[in-house]
Amino acid sequence: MKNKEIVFPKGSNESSIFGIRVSQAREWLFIGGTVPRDANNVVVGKKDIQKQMTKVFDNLRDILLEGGFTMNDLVQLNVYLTDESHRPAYFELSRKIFLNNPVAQTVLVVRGLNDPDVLVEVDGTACIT
Amino acid sequence: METIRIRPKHFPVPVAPFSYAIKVIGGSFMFIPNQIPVDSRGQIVGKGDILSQATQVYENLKAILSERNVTFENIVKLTWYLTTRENWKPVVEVRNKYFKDKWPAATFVLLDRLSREDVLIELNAIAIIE
Repeated sequence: MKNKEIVFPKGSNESSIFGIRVSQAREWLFIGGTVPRDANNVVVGKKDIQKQMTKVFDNLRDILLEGGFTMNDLVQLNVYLTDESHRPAYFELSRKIFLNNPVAQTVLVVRGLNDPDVLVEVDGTACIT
Repeated sequence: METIRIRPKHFPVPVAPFSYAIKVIGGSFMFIPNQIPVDSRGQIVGKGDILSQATQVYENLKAILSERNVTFENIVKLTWYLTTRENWKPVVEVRNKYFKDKWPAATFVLLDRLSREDVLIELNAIAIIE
């Protein structure tokens, strides 16, 4: 049995109904709220959800790589949006990013994040088995 | 067990007390659900007083960790929920009394309401155990 596998219920054709089983992980990465800030700590793409989402996932990739992980090692992700009108844009991007490596995602629309200019934030967990 | 705080070289030193991510090699985990500012009789303390509520929440967390001889340095992820941005600073003040320099990966979320009326703060955590 693999140490990491996507578990789909028998008889279901719905791609969102799944779980991720992990056993004997050698390394875990707990990722804090990742925001669309650049190297100068400035929020990029003010009021531009596309730019902010791109920056958040660039930052997430950089954090994973620095720790010796890749996007494929993500098992769980929380996504916080501050405007429900941004949901379709997020799901479109998410489908592209996670097409071949499903992640247990929770997408929430909240009233605010750590900076009023931040429209999207993600945190999550990755592991290597 | 080993923990490594991750910061990509081009990322700025965090302005707030947090880590971008924490890598854990080996060890076991304790998953702590959202804590609210209740005392051991289940009564909400410090109605309308964020300093009292934040302190109670951290004391509850400390009590849970202490049961397994775990300290705040062992917390790798912390998620905290507030109902108003104005309470961010006082909560950080309280938090700084419990964490020294080994900051967890953290997420702050602002919500309209929390699980119970009169609750101004909730937080949950993941800690590592030797």
